[in-house]
Amino acid sequence: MGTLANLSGKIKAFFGQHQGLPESIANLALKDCPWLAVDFEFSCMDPKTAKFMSAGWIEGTSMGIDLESGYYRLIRAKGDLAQSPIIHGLTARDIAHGSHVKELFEQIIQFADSHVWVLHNAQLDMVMLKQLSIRLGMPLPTIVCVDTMQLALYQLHKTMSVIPTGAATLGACRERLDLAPALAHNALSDALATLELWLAQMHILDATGQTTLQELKATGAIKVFARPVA
Amino acid sequence: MSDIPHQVSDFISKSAPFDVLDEDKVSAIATKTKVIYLTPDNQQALLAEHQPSLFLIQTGQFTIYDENGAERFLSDGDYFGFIALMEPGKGQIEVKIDSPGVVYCIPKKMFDVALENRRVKKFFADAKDDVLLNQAVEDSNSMWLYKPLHEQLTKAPIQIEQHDSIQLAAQIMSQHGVSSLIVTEDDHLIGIVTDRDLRNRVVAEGMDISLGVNTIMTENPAYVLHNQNMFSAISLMSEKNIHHLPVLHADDRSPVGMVTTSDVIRKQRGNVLFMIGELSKTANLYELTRIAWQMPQYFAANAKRAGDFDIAGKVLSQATDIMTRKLIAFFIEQHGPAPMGYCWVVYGSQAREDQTMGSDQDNALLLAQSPNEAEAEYFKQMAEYVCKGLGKCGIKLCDGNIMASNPELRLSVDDAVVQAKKWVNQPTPEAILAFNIFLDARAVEGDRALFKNLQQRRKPLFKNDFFLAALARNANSDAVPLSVFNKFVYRKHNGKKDCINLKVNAIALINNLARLYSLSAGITVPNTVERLNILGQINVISTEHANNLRDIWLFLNRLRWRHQLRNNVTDNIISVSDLSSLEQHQLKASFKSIHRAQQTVVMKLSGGIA
Repeated sequence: MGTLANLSGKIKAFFGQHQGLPESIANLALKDCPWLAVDFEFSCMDPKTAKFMSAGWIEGTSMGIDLESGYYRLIRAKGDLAQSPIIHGLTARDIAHGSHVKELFEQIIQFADSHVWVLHNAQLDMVMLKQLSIRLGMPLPTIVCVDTMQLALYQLHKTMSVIPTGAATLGACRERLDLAPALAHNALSDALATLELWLAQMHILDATGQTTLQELKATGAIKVFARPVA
Repeated sequence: MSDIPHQVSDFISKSAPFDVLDEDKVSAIATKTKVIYLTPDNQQALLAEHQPSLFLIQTGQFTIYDENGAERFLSDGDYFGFIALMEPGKGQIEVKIDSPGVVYCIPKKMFDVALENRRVKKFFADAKDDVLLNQAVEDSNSMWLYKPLHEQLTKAPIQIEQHDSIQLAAQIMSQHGVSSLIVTEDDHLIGIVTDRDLRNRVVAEGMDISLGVNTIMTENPAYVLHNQNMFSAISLMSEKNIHHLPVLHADDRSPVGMVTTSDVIRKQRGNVLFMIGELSKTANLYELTRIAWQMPQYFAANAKRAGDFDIAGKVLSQATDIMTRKLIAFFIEQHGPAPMGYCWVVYGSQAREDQTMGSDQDNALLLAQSPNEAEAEYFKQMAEYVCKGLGKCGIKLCDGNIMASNPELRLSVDDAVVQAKKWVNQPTPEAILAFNIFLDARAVEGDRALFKNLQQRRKPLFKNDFFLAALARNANSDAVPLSVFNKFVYRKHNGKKDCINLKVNAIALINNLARLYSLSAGITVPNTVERLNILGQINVISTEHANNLRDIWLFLNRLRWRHQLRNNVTDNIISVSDLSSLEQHQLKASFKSIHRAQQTVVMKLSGGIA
């Protein structure tokens, strides 16, 4: 527990303490929010050595998910890819032919101002994105995220004191809400699966969609990642 | 260029009728599709935003009310909104969300693209008119001989270029053990050479064998195309009096094989109709059982297409008839002629001519009058010999003891009429279960006038209203395996969770309906398809309704035959995941139709009391 609190503290330090929501969107109702569901695949789970393998995202609003906005890229990489390519079904050759990670960074940060990002377990993805920005020497704008995993945990905590292992995975969360099983381990597939989950979660949270982002903060599912206040 | 998530193209391409479209079309449709999460709170806004669209349900349960107030319960894999797309101004719907879920909205523009495919168009046209999607039933007349040639050719074509020598031709022929060669120019057929040409044009004439094979070939020979059938091939060979017929590919006319007279003879040996001839030729029980035991393999090897399954039950029933007649003949050879008139009657599936590999025997003996002790003994022995003999031929003994070997099933015509009166006067549910099977009956051997007499005398009894009402209620005691929301209701079987008993929960229900209407109309033919045809013709039920039930029956029958032959089993319990997406849709549509027909029969025959 101590290490976890420690890590959480480090992350907060890394991003800056308790960032508030940008005023412009704090009072935006969920039904009016533009969403961007994002998922990255990494070569391993250790932020120190992990590399971006692929990225996928897709846009939507409460009126629907726009499949035309689907984006999927493999990231060109060098060196040791650990075990992950096997899990992700990618071969070294696929990866060698992918996009440069800089291109990915440039494209995705264009959505920082226009969309609230939706991720299932935002922490690792955002730490990786931050590190990438440092490595590329490019600034990372403020990003507002909804974490569907945190929201699921918030909802689970209401009914049980001990959360069973695996209860908050994307698959388990979708199953609880009667959504179709989705293929795991493809960044775009997971992004769509996450966005569908978020639409279903919103319905349970507030069927009318009047809740604002500021109000949603109470669930712990809203996260703001920004440069540390210098 | 946008990227399509795998699960989207998977879902669309697995949803009939989109499963017939190629990958590019599916991607094009997917790109323009919107995915919504439809809830009671947002439905008004979402439907207003996306209509007109084709709505394809991925999850959730919805009730759709059409402009006439009729309601449909829909869930995974079902569509709504297509009527408005096909007939602008029509198809106004109201949607009630029973359980929210993910719905794909395919816009009109892309729906129109999909409709360019004939099969997609037919699917939605049929769905609009609420008829069973039976493109599979269209080819119902195909028989064994109508299998396309390319399914039957076993050898690659043996061919030679025109300028190769006569000697090389002879060498190739002996190497491959064939009696003819295709002669080609740039891989295109220009002639054939046969054993006979070598004999008549080379050896007899003392010709130089180093000359080109084109000097002795038959030029521009007759040929058939690979997608034509054996029947066309045989016709052409008889017409031209030839024994070798090259088969060319229909697209580029490249040689794909050769049909010969000996192939035809071999094919006929592999034809189940041929089995009937073989059964008829047997002279004793040993020969009969030896041929009979080969039936399952013959069926498995030869019944591949829908049309084959349509006649498979008939062929098997005919074969069982012949076995029965043979056994009776063998018995009479050994024990002398019968002491009085008798008729061997069959019931159930054999009578209806829809036997499958798992059907057991149901039969009885009808006697001209009550027998004395010696006569009774003779028929007892005959019945035991025949029933056991059928068992040896692979037709299972009946668990319910509905066999002529049971003394209660060797009645005189008079006693059988008395028995029928008893059924009609006391149609308890148990009694109905017990005698339902006797209502499908057919004479197989002996004095058929006895059977006709019984049928005539029973006919008025069976038209009794109370009796029919009791039967109608009973016909409704088994339901199709569909939930209120149109989902299949599964049972477990052999480790598979998604199983459905096609016989008990579907085919038998149509048999019941056809039987009921037939009894009410005094129709005595036992075959379900024939019954439905007659019922439609004489307007006991509408022709459209009768044809629809018939098509459904044929469709279900095909599914179970394919299941039995593919999996080498004798049960009727199919796994839904073994069916194609279109078949799953057809199955659902079939169940819905059967359910409606069941409701109708109760209204008509039992005064609405189910």
